[in-house]
This record gives sequence, C-alpha cells and structure tokens, in this order.
Amino acid sequence: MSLGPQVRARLRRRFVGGLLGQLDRMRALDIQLAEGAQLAEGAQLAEGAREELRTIGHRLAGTGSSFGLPRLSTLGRALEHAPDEQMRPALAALMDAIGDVLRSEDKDPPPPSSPTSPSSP
Amino acid sequence: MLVKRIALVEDNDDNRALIAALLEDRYRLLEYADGPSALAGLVDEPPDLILLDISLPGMDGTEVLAKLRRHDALRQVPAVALTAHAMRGDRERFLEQGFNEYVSKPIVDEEILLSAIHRLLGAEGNADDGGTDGGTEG
Repeated sequence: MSLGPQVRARLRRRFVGGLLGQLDRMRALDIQLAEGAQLAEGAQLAEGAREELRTIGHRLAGTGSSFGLPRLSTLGRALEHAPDEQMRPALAALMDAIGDVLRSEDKDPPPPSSPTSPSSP
Repeated sequence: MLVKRIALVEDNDDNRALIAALLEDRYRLLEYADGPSALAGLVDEPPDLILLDISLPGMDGTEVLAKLRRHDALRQVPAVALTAHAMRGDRERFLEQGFNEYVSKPIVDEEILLSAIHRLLGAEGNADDGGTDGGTEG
C-alpha cells in the first residue's frame, strides 16, 4: 500500500500551490525584521516576526521532502533553528529556494491527471 | 470485517492530505486540525488508533494525549506521535509520555508509518498490499 504517481503528483501540486502565499508572508516578515533592526520600538515587532518565521520553517521542514522537495525541508529546518542574527540570511535562502520551485513548476508543470486518467502500474 | 477507525490530529493541511491519501481506502479516517476539536470528537467516537502531531497550535500533542488518556474509552487506544523535531532521544521521550510509537516528519518513506499502524492495530488491522493510484485520484 503506497501512493502511486498520480496521487503523489496531485498532492505535490496542492503543496506547491500553497507556496506562493507562504512566500508573500515571508517577504512581509522579512520587512518586519529589517524594520525591527532600525526602529526603537521594532524589537517587539521583530520578535513576533521571528516567532512566526520559526513556525513557517518548522512546517516546511516537516513537509517539503514528503512532496519531493527536500531542499525546502533542509532550509526550513535551518530557518527554524537559526540564531536571531542569522535569521534573515536563512530566510533569504529559503525564499530563493521557494522561488526556484515556483519558477520550475510554472515552466515545466507536471502532466495533468484526472479521475478518468488511466491508472499507472 | 469492521473497518478500523484512525484518528488523525494534524494542523498542516498538506500533511493531512498526504496521510489521508495513504489510509482512506483501508480505514475510516477521523480528521482533526487541532487538539480541542480532537478531544471533543474522540470522546464521543473513540478510534482504534490515534496519529497525533506534536506541534499543534495552542495545545501540543503531548498535552492532547494526556487529556485523552483521562477518558476510559481512550485510555488504551494506541497513539503514534508525528513530529518534525526529529531530535536524538525523541522516540524514548515520546514513549515515556504515553505514546506507543513515533514517526518523524517529513514522511518520505510511507512504509514506516504504515508499518507502525499495522503493528499497533495487530494482524486484523493490516491492510493488504496494493497501490492507491487511479481509484483515489480526485
């Protein structure tokens, strides 16, 4: 009992489909981190951003490899465990990797499948 | 044969979809996205096995399990911890906290999860082998 290629492809499309929204959120949090370093009242803002980013990293660490994207798991884990001062570089690496995935899927999307498609062996 | 019920408590939609795709043909799945809803639902409808994410928002998986274990109907239900923490000593820690098995995420080799489920449900809970393609699509 294992997942066949059609089911696996459907789950991957679903996962990748959610990455764009996560990328937008990461960009917003990155801005909060940058502002937090400059504003007197920014420390609390930055702490909230770091906490949310660690949660995002944790979630990607626990999902990427399941959908054939191990780099997202690796970089997600790096973000989750990054020291505060290393968080923005870790975030930049993860956002770059997500951008690569989105560009790749856009350029070369997996073949569509439907309930009426013949089953693969 | 009565279809076994497996409760899946996992806040991540993608992981829930993945595990559901693996199991839904063979088991009846009871899906919950957080601890409080699982507590409310499972007391009324005890499953045969619980797959419980550790990093749940608000109430984490170990706390959910402790609360579930207070109910007579749920005290003996085997529970599998699902976690992306994957630290050395995790397995022992989760077993000490009342879990019966531990599976790390991301789920890359589905057989590890399936083996844990089969082992905990016993021979009668085993699903026969076969792909889940085609018929489960859509």
